[in-house]
Amino acid sequence: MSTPIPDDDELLELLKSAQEESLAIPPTMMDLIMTGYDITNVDTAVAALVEDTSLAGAGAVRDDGSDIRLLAFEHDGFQVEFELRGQDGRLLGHIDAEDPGLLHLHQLGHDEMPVTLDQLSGFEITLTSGKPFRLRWQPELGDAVVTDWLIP
Amino acid sequence: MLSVSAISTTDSEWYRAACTGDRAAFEQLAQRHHAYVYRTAAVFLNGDRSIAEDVAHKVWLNVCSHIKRVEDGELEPLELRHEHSFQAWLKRIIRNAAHDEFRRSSRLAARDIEEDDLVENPDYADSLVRNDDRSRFWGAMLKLSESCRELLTLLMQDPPPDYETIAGILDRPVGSIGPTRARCLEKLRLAL
Repeated sequence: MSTPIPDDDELLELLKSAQEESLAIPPTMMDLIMTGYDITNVDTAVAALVEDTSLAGAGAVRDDGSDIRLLAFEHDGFQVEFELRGQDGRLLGHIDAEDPGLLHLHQLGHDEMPVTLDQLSGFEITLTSGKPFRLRWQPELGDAVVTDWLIP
Repeated sequence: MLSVSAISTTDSEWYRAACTGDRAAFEQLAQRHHAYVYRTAAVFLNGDRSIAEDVAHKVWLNVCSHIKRVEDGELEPLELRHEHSFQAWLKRIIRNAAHDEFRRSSRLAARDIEEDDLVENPDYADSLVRNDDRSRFWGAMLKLSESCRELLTLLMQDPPPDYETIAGILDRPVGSIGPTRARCLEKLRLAL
């Protein structure tokens, strides 16, 4: 190094300057935080996580090396199970609900989107970004149910 | 609804107000700490900004859920005995979320995150080292142990917290902060 070695305080200042450049706060961050607050404060029930292979360690990755996470949530007569394929941001799953209703995908920073269910109540979704997402089930009667927020 | 002043209001006051449904109080907490959450997530994630941003959002969503559950009477509010208690709680959420993501992510190389020495051959950090000084300093920072990065991130806050607050957040003796600061900066010098 050809430049003089800075003392501790100077070094910390240089590091702070480097941090502010290398880790500049994304301009949309506060807006997204407040969007998260507003979404959370809509009256909904949160479905309980009943399976997450990524928390179990083994089983999160298939033998072929593909990155597939299996998740299941349930709440009071409603259950959703899906595979989250991390590499291409796809969700493949199905729901089991006592009452008819509509499934929605909400990804932070994007508008909520309806999810089309097939005749066996299966669905396939391709996420539009790497932002956290959750699923919301709105039965024809009664309160909506949401999953926890998940990172693709 | 509880109304609180923006001047000289502590985290615990904002937190209590937020738990009564005060949106502005939550926004104050987020304004105060969003940079800390993002940057601390990044140091836990070896500097990966993209994953750090996702983890930061996840942390805030967890905070929102917690506050909502307190507001709904499903959870007891946190006992924030000290001014640093809220930030210490945040740090635990960040750490857990970042470590979960670190384990999950195939984009980051596995390493011992508790190691307290310089990381040998951190390819990701090396890839960030450029010719200009700022990138060089940041690249050197990423070669430090997680504990050093965590401490230096706190010291770089604006304004920097006092040693007692830092000790509370990191759950370390106050007397160890100064010597650890010096040791971490010495390691940074060696990494430059």
